[in-house]
Formats: sequence, C-alpha cells, structure tokens
Amino acid sequence: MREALEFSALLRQPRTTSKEDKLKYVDVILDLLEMHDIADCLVGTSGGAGLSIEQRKRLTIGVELVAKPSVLVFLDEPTSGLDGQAAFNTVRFLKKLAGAGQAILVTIHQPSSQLFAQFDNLLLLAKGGNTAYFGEIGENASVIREYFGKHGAPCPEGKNPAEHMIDVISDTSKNWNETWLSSPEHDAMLAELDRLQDPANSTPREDETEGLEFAMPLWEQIKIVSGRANTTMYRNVDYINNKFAFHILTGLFAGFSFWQVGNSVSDMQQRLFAVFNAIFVAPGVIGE
Amino acid sequence: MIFPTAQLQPLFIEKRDIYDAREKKSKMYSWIAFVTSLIVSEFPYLVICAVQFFFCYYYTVGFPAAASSAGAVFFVFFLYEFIYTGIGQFIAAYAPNAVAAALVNPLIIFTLVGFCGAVVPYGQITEFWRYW
Repeated sequence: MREALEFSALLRQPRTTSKEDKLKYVDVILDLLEMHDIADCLVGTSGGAGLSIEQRKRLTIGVELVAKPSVLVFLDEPTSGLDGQAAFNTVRFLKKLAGAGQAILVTIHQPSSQLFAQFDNLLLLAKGGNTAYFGEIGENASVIREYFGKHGAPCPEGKNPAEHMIDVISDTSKNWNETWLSSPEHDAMLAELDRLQDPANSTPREDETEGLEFAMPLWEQIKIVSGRANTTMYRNVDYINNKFAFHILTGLFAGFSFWQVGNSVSDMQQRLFAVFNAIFVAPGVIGE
Repeated sequence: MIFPTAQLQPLFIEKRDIYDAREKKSKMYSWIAFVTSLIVSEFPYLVICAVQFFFCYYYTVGFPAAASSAGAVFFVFFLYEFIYTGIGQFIAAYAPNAVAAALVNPLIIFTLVGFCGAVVPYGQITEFWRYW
C-alpha cells in the first residue's frame, strides 16, 4: 500500500522535487488519510484478501493526492458502492482534505442528509445540464432550504434536503434554470467568481513542468517502473515456481529419455534429437 | 487453468491491459518504461532457469563433460532463454488477448522446429526454402 503511494509520488510529482521530499510527502498523506496502521498491508485483489472496499477507495484518493495536485481533485461518485458508515468516513476524509486547503470537486447521487451537510458548496444541475443552483449549502443545509422555500418549494421539516431538491427540480412544470438565472443569488455568485478570477488571471503561472508529457524524465521512469516490476515479479510465486519446475522437469525428461547415449554412428542421431528436444522448453513457458 | 497468471503471455497481456486502462491515460509513465520493466523483470529468473535446465539435461544425456564443449552448450541455452522469452513477449505484444497469442505461438514454434535441421536435414529440404 505504501508502495503504491510512493510509486505515484515518485512518478507524478514534478521532477524538480527531490526524492526525499516526495517520500516525506507520502507520510503526510498517510497521516491525513489515517492510514498509518494499514500502511504496510498488501492491497490484494477484489473479492480476495487485502484491503476493504472503503480502504481501497481511500487508497485511490491517496494515490491521486500524493501527486500533489495543485488545483483540484475531482472525484466521480466516491461514495457509490459503499455502505453508510464507509460513505460517511470517505466524506469525512474529503472534508479533512478541504480543511487542509485542497480544492475538491465531487459528483454525488442520493446523499444522505448527514453526508450532504458535510459539503460546503453545491452546484445543482437540472435536466440537460442547466444550473438549478450554485452556491453555499449552509449549516444543516439552511441556505438551500431558504432558497427553495423562497421559490415556492419549502422543504418539509424532517425531510432530507438533498432528496427534496431532487424531487423539486425533477418537476418539469417549473423551469428551475430560469428561476436560478433571475435570482439575486445568481448575481452574487457571478460577482464572487469574478472577484476570485481577477487576481488569478493577472498573475502569470509559474509551472515549469507545463507542456512536458510526463512529470519525470524517461530514464527515471524506467528505473522506477522496473523496480516495481521486479518487486511484483518476486512476489508472483506461482509464476516463478511454474517456470522453475517446468525447466527442471523438461530437462530431466529429455535427460532420462536419452540416458547416457554412446558414441556410435546410430547414437549420433539420438544426440541430435536430444539437442532438438531442448527447443521444447519454450512453448510450455510462453504459454497456452 | 488453475493459475491464470502463471505463464508468460497471459501475465504480459494482463499487465498491458492494466497499463492501457490506468497509467497510460493518467500519463504516469511512458510505454517505453513499461515495456522495459516487463523485459528486465524476467532476467534474473531466466538466468536461474538456464542453469537449472542445463544441469538437469546436459549431464543426464551424457554429453561430453569437458568445459570447452559444456560451456558452449550452456551459453547457447542461456541465450535461448532470452530469445524465447523475447519471442513470447513479442507475440503477446501484438495479440489482443491471451487466446489469440496462444493461437499464434504454434506458427512461430513450428517454423523454428521445422527449419532447424533436425526434422528435415538441409540437404533434403524442398529447394524453395533453401534460398532463404
């Protein structure tokens, strides 16, 4: 598991960062994701031994994070396929990351009200990708409740606001896109975006790795990737045992079949076939 | 098959599919690094295999034990390990999946076997092939 993170960090952080710094950063991420106790576990295969689904999701997030994404992490439905506890845990980690200053964009379907309350801002898309709402969610979804209440669809007490707003905007009798465009929240949000954008546009980008296809030079890539391949090969005990056993068995089989051939003329032909037999190591190892 | 990844080509193809789906798209490293890693990681085991095969085979058949001839034969076996691995990976790299690779293998193997001189001596082979 730690290896997976280190591999990603070494290859994907810019080449100007030193190796020690990259490995140190892996520890930072391990801390952040509270994964120190399982840092040396094998990831395993799905359905087999290894990490649980939730731990795996956390690891995939970690693999992205150790690359030190400067702008934003995008996660497509990080909670899908998880049980309630695991989904809440995952969102809790995301929240922690956001607290550490990382911008995070998440798509989500059918969040529970608790999960929903963890997010800061919401971009609600109605059918056809039209914006129905974009702005703060507020403490316990208060801002959203207020917005929908103002526009004739108040959220009943005790109902999940996330579910409520999906019900509301699915109702095609009212065009929520137009409602949004004409609302004062829309104008406020545009002004806010402009305010954020102006300083960002006026400062030049200082990303020297921009335009390079890969973060690391080719020779470094070869070294790192080969190192990993050697480790996986060393751990693939089935493969190696198979290879060794096959060589020993075919060797012995050919050897005993032509046991101690002599030097006469008829033996010459035997010798020739003995050598010939050696070719057949190949097909067995290669494959079927 | 009990161990789906226990052999050269299925292993190669499985790794390649993962690379295509994941690292290639996220631009983590280039295919040159990927292929080099697959080739290099075979090397240590091929050396061991060559030694194992040589000892199990050469002395049981009773070939001359003198170092001058035994060494030469060992060297050929040693190279052969690398050559057949190379051929196997070459086929695997072209094949869309493990089954297709397994279908192409016999073609290559029987070309090697048929023309190596043990099945049909050079003097008796059809004239057409002798020009090659």
